Amino acid sequence: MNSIDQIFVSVKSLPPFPQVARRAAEMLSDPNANSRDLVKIIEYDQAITANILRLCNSAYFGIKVPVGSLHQAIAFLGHKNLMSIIFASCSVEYYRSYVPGYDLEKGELWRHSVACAILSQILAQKTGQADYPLLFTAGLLHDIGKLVLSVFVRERFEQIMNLVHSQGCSFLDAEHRVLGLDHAELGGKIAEHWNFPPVISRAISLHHNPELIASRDSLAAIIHLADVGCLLMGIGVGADGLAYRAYQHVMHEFGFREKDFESALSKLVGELAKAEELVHAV
Amino acid sequence: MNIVVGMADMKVNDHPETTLVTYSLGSCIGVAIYDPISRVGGMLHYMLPEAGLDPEKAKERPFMFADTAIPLLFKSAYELGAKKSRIRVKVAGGSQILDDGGYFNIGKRNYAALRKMFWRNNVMIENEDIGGTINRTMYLKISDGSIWLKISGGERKNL
Repeated sequence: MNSIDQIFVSVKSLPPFPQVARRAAEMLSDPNANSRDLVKIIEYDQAITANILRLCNSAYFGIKVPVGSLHQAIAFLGHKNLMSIIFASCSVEYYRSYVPGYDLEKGELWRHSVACAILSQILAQKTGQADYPLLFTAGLLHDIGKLVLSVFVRERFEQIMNLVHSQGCSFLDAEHRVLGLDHAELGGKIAEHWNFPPVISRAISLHHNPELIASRDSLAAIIHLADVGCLLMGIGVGADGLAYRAYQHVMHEFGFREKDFESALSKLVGELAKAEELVHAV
Repeated sequence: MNIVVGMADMKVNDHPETTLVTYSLGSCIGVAIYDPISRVGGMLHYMLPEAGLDPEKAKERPFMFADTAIPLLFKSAYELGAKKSRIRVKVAGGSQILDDGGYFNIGKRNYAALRKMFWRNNVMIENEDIGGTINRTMYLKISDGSIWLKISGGERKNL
């Protein structure tokens, strides 16, 4: 079996993404659904319910009173934040261990993912465009491919780093050349395997890809900028370091100047502090 | 005991059992200063070059920007008994993402802001580890002023 086949076998052995997220998302987009039905779906999964109750008390989501029940959480949160919290509560379960290939301590990839999700919201506000209900979730999952690729990267790490050092390749291109696919592409496949909406799998697979520019996919473009911002700020950055390409055309697309990008970064510190429960959920 | 200097944060210390540490610098810059006579040390982790970007934010978080943070680092060390003439300075960070257009070169501009301030104020850098695409964590041991780096995925390196 070649390495690509082995990698795909590992994808199939990932625990399935909790059904509760997909069913809740469907229900949230159904105007006839009521909150009692939604509570029934969620409370069926006790681990997820516990995560939701912990996370929605995070200052980041703006609820001023302590929330003790799912009914309260649903009453106080808007649909968009509720979706973000449900997906975060499911996603966090995948991020609980050390990620050896990228030398990321337990919790660091999750911290990077949360920071990317938060920065994506700050950037989206600056674009002045429509609301992206799945942007936060795409931010949380953009590096999900690293979780599976990690063991394969560890085995061939020296070879990958040699390409980065000697040929000025990005870490992503080096992954692709050595392993036959990279963590972004693999992440997109994982999202497809979990039957996520195409808008999420596309953002994940495009987040480092130059095709991003031609695709004119705004959601993927914001995830790219948010990821670049978090890499620059060293948030949850591992052995791959900052060896990734940043595409300035994406900035032009939104009419962003350097100052707009830096200003978004300056807001990230405070927002991240408000999301402490979320960061420490692993 | 390790005392952590967060992002957009600064700490000074004169307890010999303390080690100051700042994690994961990326394009941010870590500045470590130490006076070997008073054994006072300080560490700063700033994110961006100029407070002019957002003066309100700079009031709230002065350690975010090079030009508001660096004077405060030195001033805080003087308050603990450090003397400018004896202070040794080492800096690390300022890494770059792969960006042909220079649009995202915050690391380079962070370093330029520091050089400009040090040149104006006659401060010499004793040693530095700047740039590249690596991610650095910086340590300063207050008892003897030793400063070292840990590179993500790599070894410890004395600075």
